Amino acid sequence: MISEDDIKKLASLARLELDPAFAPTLTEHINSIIGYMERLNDIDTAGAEPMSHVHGATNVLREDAVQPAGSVPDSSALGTPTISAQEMLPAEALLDNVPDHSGRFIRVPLIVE
Amino acid sequence: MSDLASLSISEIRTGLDSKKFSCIELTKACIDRADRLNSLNCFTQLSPESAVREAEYADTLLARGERSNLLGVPIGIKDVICTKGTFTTAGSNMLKNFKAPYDATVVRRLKAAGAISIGKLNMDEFAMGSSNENSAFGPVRNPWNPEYVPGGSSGGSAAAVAAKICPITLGTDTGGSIRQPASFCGIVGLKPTYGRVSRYGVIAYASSLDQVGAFASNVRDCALVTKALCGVDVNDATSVDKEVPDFERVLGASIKGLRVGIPKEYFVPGLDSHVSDAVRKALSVLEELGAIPVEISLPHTEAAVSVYYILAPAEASSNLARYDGIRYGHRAKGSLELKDLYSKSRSEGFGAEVQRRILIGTYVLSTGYYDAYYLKAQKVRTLIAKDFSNAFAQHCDLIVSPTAPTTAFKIGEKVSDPMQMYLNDIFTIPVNLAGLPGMSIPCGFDGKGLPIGLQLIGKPWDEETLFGVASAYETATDWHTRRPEIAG
Repeated sequence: MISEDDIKKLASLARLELDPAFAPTLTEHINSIIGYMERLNDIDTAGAEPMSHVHGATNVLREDAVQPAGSVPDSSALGTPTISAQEMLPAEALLDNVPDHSGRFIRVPLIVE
Repeated sequence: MSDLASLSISEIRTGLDSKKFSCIELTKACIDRADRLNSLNCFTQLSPESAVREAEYADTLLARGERSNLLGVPIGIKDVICTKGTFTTAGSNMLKNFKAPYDATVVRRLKAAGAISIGKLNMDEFAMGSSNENSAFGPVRNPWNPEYVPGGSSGGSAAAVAAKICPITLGTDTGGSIRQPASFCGIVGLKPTYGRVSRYGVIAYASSLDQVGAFASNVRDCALVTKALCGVDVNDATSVDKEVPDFERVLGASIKGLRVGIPKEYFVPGLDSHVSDAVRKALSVLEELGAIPVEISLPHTEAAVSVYYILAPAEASSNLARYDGIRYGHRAKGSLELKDLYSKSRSEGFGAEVQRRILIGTYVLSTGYYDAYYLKAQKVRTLIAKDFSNAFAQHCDLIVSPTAPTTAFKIGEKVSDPMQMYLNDIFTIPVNLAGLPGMSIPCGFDGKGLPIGLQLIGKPWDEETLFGVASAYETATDWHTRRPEIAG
């Protein structure tokens, strides 16, 4: 049985701020879900390897070479899709989505006093 | 002109290639229809300007005599797939203002084939849901009856095709998110084999399960688009270098002698009687066409929902850790300490279901519970995959089942009981866990006039058999020709 305090602790680990009004229902739901999962204990898994990937994926490696930051390729009708190489996005294209930045620097709260 | 929106790819091909209508007229018809059926809430965003621009270009190419299957065909894209220059929200407040800096590989492939994107489709937040009620942009409505859900998580994608807004849409499927909405909306939807389609530029939910696929209103259209989507991609290490067959070639082929496995565990109490009857009737149609029904057993079926709702949230809790309010996505206002900035940004940005799954994932991965839940689930996943490989090795060439245990349910009906909602995916989840290709095709209606879906499950990399059987069934029946009243 997972208590409301346990849920609060999990929320803190997952960096979520729980709405106190919502905590009892959430605790009830999570208990019902985890309770349902406990039926897995009835299954004999002796000899079964844990599966993390269906086709037994292997690492795909490439040369660790410096690549110039490119421009974002444009898709266009009847062109060849540009998917032949690992692409580098220009910093400006990424900075557009940063909620708070100053020039090329991302602004964050003070971390080290 | 509005009727143009409801044409199939082959009808579009004839019309465009013989200059009966232009790509601009076709694209505008689709956008007009999307506007008119706004109340279904299929789209998070329409892109009329870029669509018209792309259509103009397609018209130039057509005038020059260029010809190809998808040239000038309007499509819609699930909003979990990145498109350059427009918003990609994943149905979440977290990404409400996120503009992807690049197109996902699947988008590039379709654009390179000449398709025209008309907009982004509504979905359950971060693809977590079975009803499309978890979207920050409001629920999508089922075109067959707007009081009912379209299924999820690719609800907007399925509803747009069913409502004849555009012929093709893209979706993603982690535990049934293409097949279940295809079933609820009475259309065709295919989840290809895991590794068949690149996920570069697709916002991750559960990476060992996620796969991209297409919705269409008939089997041939689905085959044409799937062919364009498939293939290895250097930018996705989980995509596999396998030859992509010409799926169109198998359409119309005989299915005589093909062994169709019918899993006895899928016909259990709780299966709606209309669904059960429709699937049994579909099986007798396949038998009349020469297929041989074989009863099979997939003994670990019942465990699949438990396994999925351990593994998928575990992977999600890790994948969604990147949303910290710093580099992109929602950032909480005010001067906060770092940890509070994380927590506030995430709690404000994520909806209830996403938070619930992050918490479950955090729980099953935490010290003391990892072996009991996560590791155990990974082992049972192996047993579930073995059930399928045994069945294919010994008894059958494909498996046929209901796609979902019921037809669409009413909006609001299951929101207060997440476990009931999760059980809706009982027949689709095992397919993802085993990495197999799965398809849903329309096979009837219930007493309320809501569509029923037939699920076809294939061997790994054998989408061809699914297309072949689906096409044979479609030729022998007329379910795919029915359209909701709203679609005229």
